[in-house]
Amino acid sequence: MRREGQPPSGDVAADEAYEGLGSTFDLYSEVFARNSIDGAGLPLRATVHYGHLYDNAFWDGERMVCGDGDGEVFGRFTRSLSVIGHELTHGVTQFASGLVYRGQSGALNESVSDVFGALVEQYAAGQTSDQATWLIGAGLFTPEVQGEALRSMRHPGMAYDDDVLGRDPQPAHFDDYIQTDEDDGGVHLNSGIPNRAFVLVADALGGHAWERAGRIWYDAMTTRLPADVDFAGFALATAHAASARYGEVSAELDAVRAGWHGVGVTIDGRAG
Amino acid sequence: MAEPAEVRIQVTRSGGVAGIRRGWCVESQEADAWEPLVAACPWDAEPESVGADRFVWLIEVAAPPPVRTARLPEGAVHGPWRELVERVREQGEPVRPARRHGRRSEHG
Ligand SMILES: [Zn+2]
Repeated sequence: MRREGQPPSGDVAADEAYEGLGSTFDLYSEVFARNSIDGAGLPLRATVHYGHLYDNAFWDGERMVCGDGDGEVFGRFTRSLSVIGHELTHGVTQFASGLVYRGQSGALNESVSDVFGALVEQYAAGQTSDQATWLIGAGLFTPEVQGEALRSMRHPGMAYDDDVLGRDPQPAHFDDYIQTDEDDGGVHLNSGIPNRAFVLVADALGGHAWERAGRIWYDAMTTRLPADVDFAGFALATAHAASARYGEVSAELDAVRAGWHGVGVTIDGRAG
Repeated sequence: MAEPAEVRIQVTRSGGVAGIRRGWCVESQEADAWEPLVAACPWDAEPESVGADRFVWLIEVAAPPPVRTARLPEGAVHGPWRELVERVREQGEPVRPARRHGRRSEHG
């Protein structure tokens, strides 16, 4: 247990979690003027060393929980700042829109966590869109694994290809949407589609992704988003957010439209 | 020809923050050893998951009969479920991932 303002504990996982909570708080506070995950200063909490050789990190509804990994496939999950940002963003989503964790709304819930997880990392490193790796969970795999990260937002389906784990199954286009009963309806698979849409928008606008692309996504996810929204509905929400903030004739709205078009999601003609 | 297995149980884990699917399968002729483990599980319960990035477990018993399937959030895998899952992982074999794209050489 390391509380705000206390010196490093000497426990690597606890110190990484502490730094990661701080970096995540900073992005939401400094860029989006959001005071913690609930918007009302809720203290951020994490549990580390969860379970025994536990190969996962999750959001339990109140806190981030991280395992140490089994040492064969995964090392400790606190090593990745994008994963810490991902978990805490599940908290933001829980308070902001409550996106239902199944099917398309579940894949959007996952994607929003990847988007802001990546932005936490980019903001902390001061990276522009073209400098960023757009990888989620880089460095979590042990050297035995043929792969660089859990997911690639820029190239969904290309993060790993390994004898034990198989090949990264993420689709990058809506034509390849995966229907499955596993993984709460493929929430960690189909998130590749909106993830890539976000990167296309960020690349088109250039510069720091949190400034405009991130702002548009943040506005969309915090402005009356239905909990069961599908990809097309979320795309429309981002178009509305872009035109509300930047105007109906703007590079930002053009980029949003092109980004979703690039992954096969059509925005309704009434948008913007 | 080998006799058909009296026991065939597969457990498959999906989800988690990594979204990586892992499976383990046990085949055995020792139905007496496995039947009580299977029978002890509450097959009719449908527990709900809370939070995000939890594992999802699929438990499939092809034998001994009857054929049974359960889909469980990680939080429900305790007691007899945990016992069954742990035994299959210990005594079974990992299920190799499917080669869906066929761009690597076959081996093993
Ligand atoms: Zn997640």
